[in-house]
Amino acid sequence: MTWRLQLLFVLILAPAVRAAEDSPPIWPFFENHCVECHDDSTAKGGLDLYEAIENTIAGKKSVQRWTEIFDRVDHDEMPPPKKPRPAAEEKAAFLDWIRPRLIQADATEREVVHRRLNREEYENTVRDLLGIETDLKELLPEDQSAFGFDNNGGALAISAELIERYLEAARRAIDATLYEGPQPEVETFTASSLKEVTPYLGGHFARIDDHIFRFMRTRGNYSKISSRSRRTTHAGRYRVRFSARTVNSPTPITFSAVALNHQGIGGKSETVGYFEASEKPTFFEFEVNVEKGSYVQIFSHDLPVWVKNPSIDEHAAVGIGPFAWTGPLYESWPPPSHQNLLGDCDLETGTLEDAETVFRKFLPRAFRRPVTEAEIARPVALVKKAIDAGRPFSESLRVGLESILCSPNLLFLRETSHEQDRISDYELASRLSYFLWNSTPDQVLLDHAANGELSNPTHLSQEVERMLNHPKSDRFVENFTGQWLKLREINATTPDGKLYKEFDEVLQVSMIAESQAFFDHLLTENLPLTNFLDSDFAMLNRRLANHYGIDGVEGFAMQPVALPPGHVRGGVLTQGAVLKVTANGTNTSPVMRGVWVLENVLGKHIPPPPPNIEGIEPDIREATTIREKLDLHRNSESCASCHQYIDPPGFALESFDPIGSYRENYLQFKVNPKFADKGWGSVVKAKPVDASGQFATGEAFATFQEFRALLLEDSETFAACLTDRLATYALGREMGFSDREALHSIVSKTRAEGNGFRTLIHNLISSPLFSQP
Amino acid sequence: MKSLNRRRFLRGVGVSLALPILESRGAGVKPGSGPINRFVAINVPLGFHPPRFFPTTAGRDYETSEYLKAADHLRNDFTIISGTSHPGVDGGHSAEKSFLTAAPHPGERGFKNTISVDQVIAKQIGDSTRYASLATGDRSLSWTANGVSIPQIQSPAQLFNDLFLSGNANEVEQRRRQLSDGHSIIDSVLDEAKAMQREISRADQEKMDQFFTAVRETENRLTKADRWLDTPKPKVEAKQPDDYRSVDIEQWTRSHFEVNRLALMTDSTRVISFGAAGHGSVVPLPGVTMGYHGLSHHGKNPDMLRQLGIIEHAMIKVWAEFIENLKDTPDGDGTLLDHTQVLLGSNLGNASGHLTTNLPVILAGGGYQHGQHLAFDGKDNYPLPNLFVSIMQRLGLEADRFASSTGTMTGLA
Repeated sequence: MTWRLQLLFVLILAPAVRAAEDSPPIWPFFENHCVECHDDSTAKGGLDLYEAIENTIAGKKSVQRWTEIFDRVDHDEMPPPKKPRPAAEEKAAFLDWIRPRLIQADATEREVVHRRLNREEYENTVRDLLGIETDLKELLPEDQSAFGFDNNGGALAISAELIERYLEAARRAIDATLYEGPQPEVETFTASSLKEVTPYLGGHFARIDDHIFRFMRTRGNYSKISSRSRRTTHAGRYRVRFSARTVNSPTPITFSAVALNHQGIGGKSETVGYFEASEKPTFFEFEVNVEKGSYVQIFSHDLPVWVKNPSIDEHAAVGIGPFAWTGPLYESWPPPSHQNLLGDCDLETGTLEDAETVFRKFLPRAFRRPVTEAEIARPVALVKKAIDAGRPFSESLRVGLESILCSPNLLFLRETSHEQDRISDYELASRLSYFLWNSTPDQVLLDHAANGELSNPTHLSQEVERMLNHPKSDRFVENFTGQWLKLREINATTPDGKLYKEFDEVLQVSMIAESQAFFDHLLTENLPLTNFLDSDFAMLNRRLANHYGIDGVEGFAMQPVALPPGHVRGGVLTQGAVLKVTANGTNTSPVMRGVWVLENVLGKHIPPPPPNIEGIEPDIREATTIREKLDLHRNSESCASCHQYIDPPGFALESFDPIGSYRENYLQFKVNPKFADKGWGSVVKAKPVDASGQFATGEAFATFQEFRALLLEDSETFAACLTDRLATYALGREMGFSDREALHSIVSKTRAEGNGFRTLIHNLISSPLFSQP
Repeated sequence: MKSLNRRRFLRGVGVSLALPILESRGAGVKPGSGPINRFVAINVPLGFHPPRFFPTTAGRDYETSEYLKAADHLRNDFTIISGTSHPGVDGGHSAEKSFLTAAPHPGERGFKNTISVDQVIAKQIGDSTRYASLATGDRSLSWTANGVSIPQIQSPAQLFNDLFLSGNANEVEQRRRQLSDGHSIIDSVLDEAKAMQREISRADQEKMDQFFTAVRETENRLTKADRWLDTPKPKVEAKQPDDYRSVDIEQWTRSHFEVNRLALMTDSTRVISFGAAGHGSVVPLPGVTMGYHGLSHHGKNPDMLRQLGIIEHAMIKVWAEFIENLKDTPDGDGTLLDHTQVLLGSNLGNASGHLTTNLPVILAGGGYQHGQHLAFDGKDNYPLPNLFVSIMQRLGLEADRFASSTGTMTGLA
């Protein structure tokens, strides 16, 4: 026995926890299989097992390291393939020794911390509490993401910057809630673009009756077709109605409406929606919340960028009639937000007692639980102080209300039952509503908590159904897909206009809608999780169906469309948005896409490349493709340890270009030497795409379809990955070693019950994981 | 394309300074030139194509590079630094978060940022100005000690408003009431947080400590804001710039730099960070047809490199104008440039391959003996945080380290 091992014995046996151990049974395993590379001098990959074993498994870093050791051995990734394999029972004994210790150490790291609401949750919370639609998110600093989501309790820090902004947000929210004075008179007016467009009639614009036509798609953010000639005299909700039609177009033409007050500082601009016009004049109507002095601009899409000498007798165009405005519209006066908050309290004649009544009603909803007398007394004291200082009641009450919107009891998802096995029903209600609604519980949910019904599995499940069926669950779809599928990054690159002429705003908007609608469809219909990997349908609208080469789909709305047999689409990996956000705009990177697939589909975390490594600088001029370069990469042992996993899925996805079109050849823009100074040229076919690859585990594939089939064979891995992602989002904390058993039973229970996506959500929520402190 | 003549801006130099420039604790003072008491940090998130940015020769007689030709008349006003990077800062684009913090592994899943150097400086020297620091640009470079991103002002016109346009008497009174209400609310919130503390777990203690610190700091800020309400904002003859958007990189950056110069000149702040644009849109410059971010992944394609060059040339040109304008602005017994250290850099050394080593770095102003190319080892990079320590010391801070620094930057004179 070496002196070092003797020392180890001493160290390992010394602390109380090790009293029961006769010897450190895993050391021989290390010695036989590991220390050749992972000793204190070589410490390959930064791992020194001498150091690791001399310390108890405790603390974040050590838990992380031991989890890594456990997994690499468990998955037969270590010792490396060319070394002798440990015997099965030797390996099992090794893992069995680590497992309980690691679970115990990990569990202490996994407590849910007081999680601060992120800015999106704050906005939704305040909007839902007060019944307003005011923008608040834009006032607050951007939140930091950790472990893939921006609701991670550990990452949501607090600073003075933030508190200052909460004061401002609270003021803005209360201003939008309360109304004083008489109801503004409802105005009705009609605004036409005719005057602004008249000089251009016969040129780029044309007119039939009161419809103004455009032949080209609108570029930039200014459109002459608008209601600019007459702006709203008030802020508030307005109804806008106008007619639209097309000429000379066999297919409908898409247009969009944007409501704005002005371009510039403090200007507010909002895309109201996308619409399709057809030959027959049709009325379109929407309601929109606007600032004072607002108008609507219409942008035409689906039309050429340029038409020479356009003629209304010959060329396709979309025409828009005058805009009829009505508003501001209120359900009642004062509006419901005011009445719900104040009840009978009158802002002019109110008293301190009235203020107390208001707070008594509002606080339990704001704090998501019953409140104490001391908690009611705080805002009351603020109102009293202001009244005593001679301020009018209306101003004084606002101070109290604003303080509630800045309160730590509202800002933090507080959980105080850490000593119990299970959090309280009120705490559970909050977990549910921030998971499924991204917001505060409504009164019904709080009532269920009060009655103890959430502890009853049947009632809990009914409540989950109610919440998933509520429109507020769209926020879950949007936020989860925005982060899991990276849809939020859709604007990070603009595809090269020379190579990808067909890419435009409507396509981009449709792509995002596709991925969200697909997720929503699986959730609503409770379809099997395997659909995420491959499905026999896709959610499409006309534009996207054209893009994917599928006929017969009409309209702008997403609809389930059965895919023709043998069609390459199906599953999230073939969705345009996913393929776009994992590309570089001009070219695709097998590395970016490969890492994305590993982390979000296969659940394998890949560390960033070691610092100071010579990365691959792409060089598309040379004869070598990125694939050939990556092949070289994998021959280097240190690169191969990660790239053997990254590259194969990345190669498979090379079958899709940066805007998600299927391709058999790469495209290249060849500059015509005659016009080199102007950069003119044409698109030519370049090398054929090679989508083949081989997983580190040996399975080979020749095409993307074969790759997808392999993923499907091992759909359990995906189910585990998605469950991990959902749990991370639902609990606002990363999943650790000690959560594995719970996650595993959620996955197997779901599979046993038909593997439906909605079933998975139910099983996650009913799992002890969801209700543990 | 119409280009703003910098002289047009400079006609407005005869400003009335509403505030005296306060005595600074500035060390490293050149005799007779006044205190070096200002710091501007600029990060260009997509960096610069290295062969065109870095000179191939080192030392004082370095031969200027393709990009720096545009600034060669200012040669003695800056030092170009190669072969540096932040130790352990990897993760491609996510390294932007670490440009001023040097916090390692920003791409890690559980990454938490640390304080940025501008905020360390602002804590020390920010008390005497209306704004302790300004975070400006397309994305924020400034981070608090808890790793909260400090929201940046994106619009140069908005920034101008904040700095130089005062409200009417009614608005000032309303603001005063808001600040006073803010104080009351903060007191109440603090009281509430104390009550909460009785029933929290150990894991939550850290969060609550953060909260208390933040609330107390907010109180100080409200007090300071109230104090400044009575001091009229400085008047400048310059006009509010147009509301350029960051898509229009050249005009937008130029406007930001000009407002930043006015902010420094009027001593409205002494610390500014500017996160330059690195978006995916097509920059409206003649000859550019492809998105900026896409161009940065040029893969050595000649047409893409040509287009990228147009944008990067414009960035260097606008930066050089900024330096020249600072140099043309009198300040105390010297120029504004003498008293301002301007750091230009990038979180990416080579955007095409997402490399975070060999970062492009230029330090201008601040009374150094500039005019050299400080070339460190391109294979084994020198720690960039050392430059931050040098900058802090030059501002008179008693600082001997920042993040992973190992000392002050050698060779900087």
